[in-house]
Amino acid sequence: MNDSIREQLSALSDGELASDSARFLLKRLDHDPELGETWERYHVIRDCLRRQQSLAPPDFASQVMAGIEADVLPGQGRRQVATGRGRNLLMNWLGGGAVAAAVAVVALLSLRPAAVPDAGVPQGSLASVEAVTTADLAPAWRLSPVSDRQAIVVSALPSQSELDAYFMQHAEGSASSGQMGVLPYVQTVAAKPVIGVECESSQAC
Amino acid sequence: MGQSVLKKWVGGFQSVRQPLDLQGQKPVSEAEADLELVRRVQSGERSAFDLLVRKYQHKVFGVIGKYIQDYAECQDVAQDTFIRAYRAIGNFRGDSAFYTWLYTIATNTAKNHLVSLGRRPPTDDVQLDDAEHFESAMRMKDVATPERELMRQEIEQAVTSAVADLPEELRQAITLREVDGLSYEEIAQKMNCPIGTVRSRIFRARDAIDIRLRPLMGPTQAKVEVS
Repeated sequence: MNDSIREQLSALSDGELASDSARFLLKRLDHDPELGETWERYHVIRDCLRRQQSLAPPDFASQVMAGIEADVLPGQGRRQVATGRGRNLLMNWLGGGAVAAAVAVVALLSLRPAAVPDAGVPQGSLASVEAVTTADLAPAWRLSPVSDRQAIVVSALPSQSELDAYFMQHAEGSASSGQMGVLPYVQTVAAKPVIGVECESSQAC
Repeated sequence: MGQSVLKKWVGGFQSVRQPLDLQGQKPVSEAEADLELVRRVQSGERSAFDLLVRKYQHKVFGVIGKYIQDYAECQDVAQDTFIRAYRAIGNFRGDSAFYTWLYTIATNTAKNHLVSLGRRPPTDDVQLDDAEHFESAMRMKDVATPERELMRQEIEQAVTSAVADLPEELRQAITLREVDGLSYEEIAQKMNCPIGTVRSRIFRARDAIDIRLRPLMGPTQAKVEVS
């Protein structure tokens, strides 16, 4: 990178370079990392002299570009950014829409609960709220070991009835300690709805 | 007849006073250069966006620093700002300057971030001009890591001492440009010299400062920062 190019870069950063040269230099900037770093430093100098703080970390720009790379999937990014390709864009969009609609239909058909009676009540109406029970509100814990080590931990967990018994036994003693006497009661009450939760494996419960 | 000859002669004289690559052409303003980069991003050249990030990263940090004091948070929001800008750049038509558009995204992203955390964004909005002031980031300075703060001080010190060591004519040229914001033509009038000389002086001043800055901001330094 010679002095002439850097002098042009300096003029470009000041908005004082002729359009032809500017176009050429901007093109070169895309492919010349050294020139790009100089471009960045020229702006740091400007920010410092204009009494702005150069707060961004030195690798910030590369972090942003990595973030963009991760954010925009190949093909999708071009669709979001590029303009002027109306027909292709429309075809892509329609194609994607058709696939999405087909997937949605299959999902609706396969995931529809068989036990729901056809009572003529539209889904999502207030009538369907009645079916909600305390069991529905309990956390849907599914303990499934994903490794040998976890399997040992999961199998060693106490069952729900053991936990309830533990709460009941200790509720009285904890309450008699004086402070926070309500807390064990809350624990005991809160533990009740969980009793009905089904475990994925019989070993876990 | 005589007048036209005189005009031609004066015109020729003026063109000699201009840099060779500017003769007969209108210079590209900063906003126009930004727009050129935006057009390239819109046509799929992602690397052009990198140049815009490098140009405006510190300004964006300054703006977000008005809303968010924590450095790590500020960095996340700044990154989010640029990613949002990239996603939306297809809709940028160039009705306003790119930085004005980016500034709006930055302030909105910062406000949304505060709201998402249950914090209340400041009622007084940061003005575009205020955002360029030094004070904008003063609050954040206190919570920056010591290493980061040291690096910032080193950069600032390197620039200040490099400017102080410049020959008088170079120092005056770069100060008139960067601090007073004068155009090359205005500086040429003030310093009573051709525009080409102004351009050369400003470049030599920048180059001298850049030599001091390079060891602090090179790729090696960036790697140390990451590790």
